[in-house]
Amino acid sequence: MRRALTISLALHLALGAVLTLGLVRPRALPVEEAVTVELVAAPEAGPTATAPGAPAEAAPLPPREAAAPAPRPEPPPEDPPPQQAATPPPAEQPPPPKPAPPKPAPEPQLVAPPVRPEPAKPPPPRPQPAKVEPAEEEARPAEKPAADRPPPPRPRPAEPPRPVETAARPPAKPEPAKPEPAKPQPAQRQPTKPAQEDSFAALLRSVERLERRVQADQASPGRGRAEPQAAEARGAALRADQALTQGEIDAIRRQIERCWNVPVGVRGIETMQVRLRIAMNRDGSVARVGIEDQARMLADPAFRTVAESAQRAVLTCQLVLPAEKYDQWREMVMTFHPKDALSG
Amino acid sequence: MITRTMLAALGLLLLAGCSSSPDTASGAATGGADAGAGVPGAGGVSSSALGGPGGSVTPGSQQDLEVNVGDRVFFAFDSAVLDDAARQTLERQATWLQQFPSVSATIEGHADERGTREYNLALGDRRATAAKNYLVALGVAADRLRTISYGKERPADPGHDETAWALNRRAVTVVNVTN
Amino acid sequence: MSGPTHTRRRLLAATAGLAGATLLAGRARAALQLDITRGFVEPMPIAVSPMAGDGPAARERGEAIATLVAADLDGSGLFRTIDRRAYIQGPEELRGIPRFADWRQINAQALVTGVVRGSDPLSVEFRLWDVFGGGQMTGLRLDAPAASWRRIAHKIADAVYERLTGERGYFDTRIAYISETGSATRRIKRVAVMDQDGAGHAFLTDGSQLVLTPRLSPDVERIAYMVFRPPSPRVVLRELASGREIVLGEFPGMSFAPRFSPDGRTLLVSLARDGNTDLFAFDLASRRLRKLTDGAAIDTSPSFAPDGGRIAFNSDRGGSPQLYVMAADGSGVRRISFGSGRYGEPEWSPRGDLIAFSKIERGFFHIGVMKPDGSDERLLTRAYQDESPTWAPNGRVVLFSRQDRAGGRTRLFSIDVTGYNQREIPTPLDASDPNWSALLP
Repeated sequence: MRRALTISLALHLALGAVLTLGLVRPRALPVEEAVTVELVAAPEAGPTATAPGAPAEAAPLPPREAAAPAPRPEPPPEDPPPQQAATPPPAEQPPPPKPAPPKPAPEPQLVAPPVRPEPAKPPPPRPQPAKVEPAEEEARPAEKPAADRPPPPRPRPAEPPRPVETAARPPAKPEPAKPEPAKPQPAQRQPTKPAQEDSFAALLRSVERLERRVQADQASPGRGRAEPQAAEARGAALRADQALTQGEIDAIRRQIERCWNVPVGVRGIETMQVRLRIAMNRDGSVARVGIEDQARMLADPAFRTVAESAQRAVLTCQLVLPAEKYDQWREMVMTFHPKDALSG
Repeated sequence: MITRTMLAALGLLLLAGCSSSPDTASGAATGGADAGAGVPGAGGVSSSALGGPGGSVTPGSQQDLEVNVGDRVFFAFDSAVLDDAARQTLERQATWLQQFPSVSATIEGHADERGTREYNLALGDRRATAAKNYLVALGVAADRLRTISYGKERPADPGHDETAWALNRRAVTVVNVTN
Repeated sequence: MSGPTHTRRRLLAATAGLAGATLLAGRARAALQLDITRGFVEPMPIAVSPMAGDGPAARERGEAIATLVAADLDGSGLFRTIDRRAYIQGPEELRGIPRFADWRQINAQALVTGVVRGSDPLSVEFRLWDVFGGGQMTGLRLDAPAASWRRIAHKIADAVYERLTGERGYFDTRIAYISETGSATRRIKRVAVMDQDGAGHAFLTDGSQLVLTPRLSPDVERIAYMVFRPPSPRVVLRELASGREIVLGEFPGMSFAPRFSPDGRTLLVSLARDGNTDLFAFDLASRRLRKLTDGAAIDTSPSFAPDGGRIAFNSDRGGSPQLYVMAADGSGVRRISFGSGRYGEPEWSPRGDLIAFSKIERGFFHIGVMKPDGSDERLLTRAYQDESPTWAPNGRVVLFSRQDRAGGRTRLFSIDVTGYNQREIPTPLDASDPNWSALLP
């Protein structure tokens, strides 16, 4: 309890310093703790090195293991204070040797550079979509407003800026196959469009379909780039307020589940829940991930372990996400439930 | 009180008992079951050299005890209760001890391996004490008898079946070497 | 993530979020909510780089230390160290900040680097890096005589383990045990001690007298064990450093099953007298003996709770060997074992949350754990003869002795309390009665 208070106080002071002094570069400890461990070996250094098989002769032996240190200068508690927490030199310890310098460790730069600012965040032209066929659950009509739109890019494969779309994911964790069902939907969808609409619109759609398929076939990223952007932008704008389907949400969840290495055996894990706030880049990489309940992070090493495992799940997972619905998943809040994960 | 006739009778009984089988414990073995195994058959004397009564064995010696009287008794699983066979053996021991008043002995208590180390040390002590107490009740002076427990550390039979275990659950009377 | 930095980041994030929100024509967007209820369990892949050093001797030392750290972490079953042949950056480059992309590439989720300075005494600096997060997690400098380099490596492994699992490590520890050899009817037994990985092995007795059940004091400076010597088998106490025996006086009866209290001031002993065995508390300073249990039952194999307030023990007062818990003064005895079979050797976890025990049921021995109130009994092992459980000081690993088949060798094994990662601890001869020390001071 005291430790938590001390840390909390230190943080408040630090925060105050930051705010008043501007951007003080909080030097995250180069080396937290310089610990001097005086380990004095037994007087007879020889036998100590004896490998286990040696003592065959039953010599009367004086017990070895002279842990008795002759001089025991500072008995530094050799416990490194919770680095993260605090301010530079952890106050508690009497660190005889000072921390070494090294430049190391600028704090984790979790902010990844966004891949590409939305090209033309077009004013939501919206309207047309009215035509959009009654949303089948997929509701990914994709080609609405035929009118002013060149063939919507969509065909994932052709889009480089959106690596997420690409099926082949290096670390197989989120299996490549996963996104397929979600993505190709539109392509499949089209064919099944009920012929309610205006025949002209239908014709346009089929043209778009064809063009899209053509583009999909063109494996070269370069070519498809320009158009996809603009079109995608417009498309995105139009679809921006299309909610994620349950299937898409499930797909995201499943990917994370495949990436989450649960630290079984952590004391009290059954009662823990970890909530992360995640900001995503358009390309599906993580811009920022933050753990709620920072107080507990500092005070409870067991909780921190579970929280960091969740954080690693998000950071190491290369999520495949529906690009055109970026707005729906750019901010996520994930709650991890270890108890269910371990009993499942 | 112990007449030569009785001695002779005892000797005959001994012979009779021994002739049934060299390894008396095997008869009563209940293979495999560990929930309370059988006790060695009547006679309960482990194999040892057969010598005629008063043969080349020095009276009052350890060998005499082993050969002519029976130096050990056996117990059921997890028990220190003396059964009939055990009591008979101890009665013979008491008689023999009365015969040789200068002899003092240590009664060792043992257990089989199917128990934990420390619990078996305690169990061995219980068994040794049970044997000693019976001897004392039969008139042997208590200060002539010591007890010690070896738990499961000194099995008589190195085997790993009920036959062996039954032989290891024992209290053995050992003549103290006086010097 | 350090507090202040993270707070700052969150402030920025919040600001950016607000700005972004206002830009988007007033369309309020709630964050996508997800519940993650599944995962997998696997050792965490980490990289342990050989440590840099000035000069070939230091570099060689740096490699040896890294090898030992990796062995400790792998041995715990919670980590999987990546083969160093896959490492892109070398030790010298790692004197600075690692190029995290290189390590992400091989999926190392954490990275251990270090520098070895000096030869004797040694000074070793190490750092643990969060590869995907991109920052340092912890760092330490350790100084010691060169001959203690293994302890430095174990302490580094402990620091890494603690930072990544939230629990204290157990690598800088010793194990006392009984080394056995010889025929089954006349075993030759010796008290031995070694590092938890088997190194630094030494015999403390010569085998001429039967010895059993060694126990290290909490400060790892003394060792108690039972020895069969005239006039009666008894518990003795020895100083590890000097080998000197500390006279405990004559106990009335056979004394055995020594146990230290967590504060090291009391030695519990079992005394067998007149066929009855009871538990006694022997105050090492005053030499006074206090009786804790009474009655005709066998009461032995005690184990203190880590706070010293309660004692678990083995008793057959109910008709068969079972487990009981009582207050440290002997009052309030309650039975806690209720399964089928015969229970023994309770060992209270240093974490306080579990009691390990051995149990015999239907012809097999098991090592198991249960909560101190007896609930949630869980068997971890099953073999011909598994006994003598002892806990690693962090309460996560149980060490025990095993004879895997009738007439087979008796050896030491460890298993994680979750039931994973059973492995053998190598000893020169057969081994039994293990006792795991606290973290070395």
